[in-house]
Amino acid sequence: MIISKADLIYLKWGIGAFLLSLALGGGIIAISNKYQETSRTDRQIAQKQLAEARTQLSAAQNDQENMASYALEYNALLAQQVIGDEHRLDWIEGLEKLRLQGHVLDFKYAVAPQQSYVPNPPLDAGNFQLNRSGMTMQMDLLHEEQLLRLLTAMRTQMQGWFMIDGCSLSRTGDNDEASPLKAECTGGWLTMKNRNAP
Amino acid sequence: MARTLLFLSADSFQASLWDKGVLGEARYFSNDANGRERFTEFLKEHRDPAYLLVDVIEEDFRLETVPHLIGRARRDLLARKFEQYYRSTPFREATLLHRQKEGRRDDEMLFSALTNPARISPWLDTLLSNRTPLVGIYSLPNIITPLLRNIPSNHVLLLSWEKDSGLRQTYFKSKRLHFSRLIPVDSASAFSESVATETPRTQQYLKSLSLPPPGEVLDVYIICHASDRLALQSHLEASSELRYTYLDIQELGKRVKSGNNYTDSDATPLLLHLLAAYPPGTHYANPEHTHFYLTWQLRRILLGLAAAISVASVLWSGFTFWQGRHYVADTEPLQLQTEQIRQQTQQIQRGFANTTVPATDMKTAVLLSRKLDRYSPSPESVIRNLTLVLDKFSKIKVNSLAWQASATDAAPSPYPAQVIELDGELTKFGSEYRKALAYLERFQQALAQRGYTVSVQSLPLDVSSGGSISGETNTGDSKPAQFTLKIIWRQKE
Repeated sequence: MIISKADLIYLKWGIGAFLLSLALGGGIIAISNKYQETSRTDRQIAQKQLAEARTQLSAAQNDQENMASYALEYNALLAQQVIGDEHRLDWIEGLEKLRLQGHVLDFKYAVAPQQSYVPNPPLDAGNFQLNRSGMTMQMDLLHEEQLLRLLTAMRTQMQGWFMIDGCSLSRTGDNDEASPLKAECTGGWLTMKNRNAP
Repeated sequence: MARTLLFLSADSFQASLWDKGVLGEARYFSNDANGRERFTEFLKEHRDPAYLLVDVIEEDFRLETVPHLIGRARRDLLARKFEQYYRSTPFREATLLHRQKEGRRDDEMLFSALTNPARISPWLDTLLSNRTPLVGIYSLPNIITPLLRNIPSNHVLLLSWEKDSGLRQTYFKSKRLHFSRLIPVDSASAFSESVATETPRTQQYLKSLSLPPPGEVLDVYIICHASDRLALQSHLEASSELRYTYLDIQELGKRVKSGNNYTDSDATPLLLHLLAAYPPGTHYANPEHTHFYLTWQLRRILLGLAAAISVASVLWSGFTFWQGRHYVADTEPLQLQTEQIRQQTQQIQRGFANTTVPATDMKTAVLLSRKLDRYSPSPESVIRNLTLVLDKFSKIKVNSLAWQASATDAAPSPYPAQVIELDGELTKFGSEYRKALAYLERFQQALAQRGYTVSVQSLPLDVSSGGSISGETNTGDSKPAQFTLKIIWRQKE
């Protein structure tokens, strides 16, 4: 079938209606699809926001219950000089005081420069920067109980938080010696610095 | 859908409108300039598809057996046959009657043509010049077949009377058209006489063609009105070779769902209805004649598609909008609920103690310190159970003890494990290695019962097949039974 110019004139309304229906149909489908997509996205956002709000409410309610204990513990950490800058002078004075108390026969220590601390396994520190100043201690002991007492005293009598990584205890030789045991401990003084703090 | 039905006989040309099974009144047009002008006016008013039914004497039929071909070969063969038989007319057609079942399985074809194109051309030209959508040009014998549907005979001579053309006698063999003949009849009164005189003549002609074969009866079916039946019966007499049956035109009309009431034996309205209601697949028109019908169909298709697309897109977008509204209706309560929960949260947070440190930071610091506290457990908690076990195993002398935090050995605990290395020796066993090893084994089991994971790094005596052993039998002294254990202590949840 050959379509002539006269046929096209005859068919113009048919072709026009067909093209118009394609354009209008496509247009209203596109608009309605857009509207549907937008409303669906809005609903998804609203669902997400609701879930987040519920989580926040739950956290707030939890915080409400625990805030008293949080405040007490936080103040204790402040008093312990764990939060904020490190106070090396206090450590030196504290260790000297322990030496005078004679928990062990003798001990030496060495504090290294402060470094950023990343716990292993890792922990989310939130708004806090964790720092640690490494320290090694060598001690002469009569028996192993002295080591435990010294470490307990460091924890209870001194400012700061000394995290012990490990210790080693070994015999020096005969039990008749003045210091039959030697001990060496490694660890570090931990401080937590709020990034928003001046 | 409405149709324009045109009927061309030897002496007249008429047009009728057909709509929903009802045929309108016929309008006659004279075969002159004035008549064709009036016909043009008529066509301008009625743009529906038109069927042209021709009932003239000048129609030829030829039966021929041709090889069974398909495609281009078949088209070429038919074109050759048309050129051979009907060179002078464009109104020709070939109908396959049936395919032979034996031999080459040739096709039995009926070639037919309207042999006087000058009778049709003036009206056809008017149709084409007015761009009338012509569906086809049909001859009366070609459209009459549906009336045979309930006739059981294999040899039927169907008689119909058309007021404007005459008596039509059409012979069907096995319900397939073989031959047709038109005898002009002047008036209704001559109808029965014509039937009585012309039927035997046609029978004689068929006999000359051995149709029907000797011994078989030719069934003559006559379409007539009930009022003419008695007159026909009085003129006709059945014989052993001829049997007459009368088809009531009114009943036939009902059978083919015609909405008209037939008042006489003129079969023209019935046949026009038959053409509109059951148009046959083949006709005499060529593609040039039906070009405007094809464009009409194309326009209808385009408009139909446009309507379908419009309806479908409206339905689709309506459904999509409805879904969108549904989502919006869902969203509003969610947002309201979210806002209420936020206000509730803010109210709770306003009630927190007013400190310089935000509550979240306070909480973070506390929770962090709690976790870090477990990263560095007190030495008492690490070795207390070990010392308790050692107290019970007095034959073990500890030479060195070291512990170190280890993240790699932590699993399944989330906090670092403490790996203790114990160097010791077994005393007071002398050369009794078996007892010494059993003692050490019990020591390990006691540690395991206290929650430690114990593995041996070295034993006092390597009794495995891969180890080497040396000793002296003539002395009571023995080497110190030294060993090394790796003991892992893990945080409890």
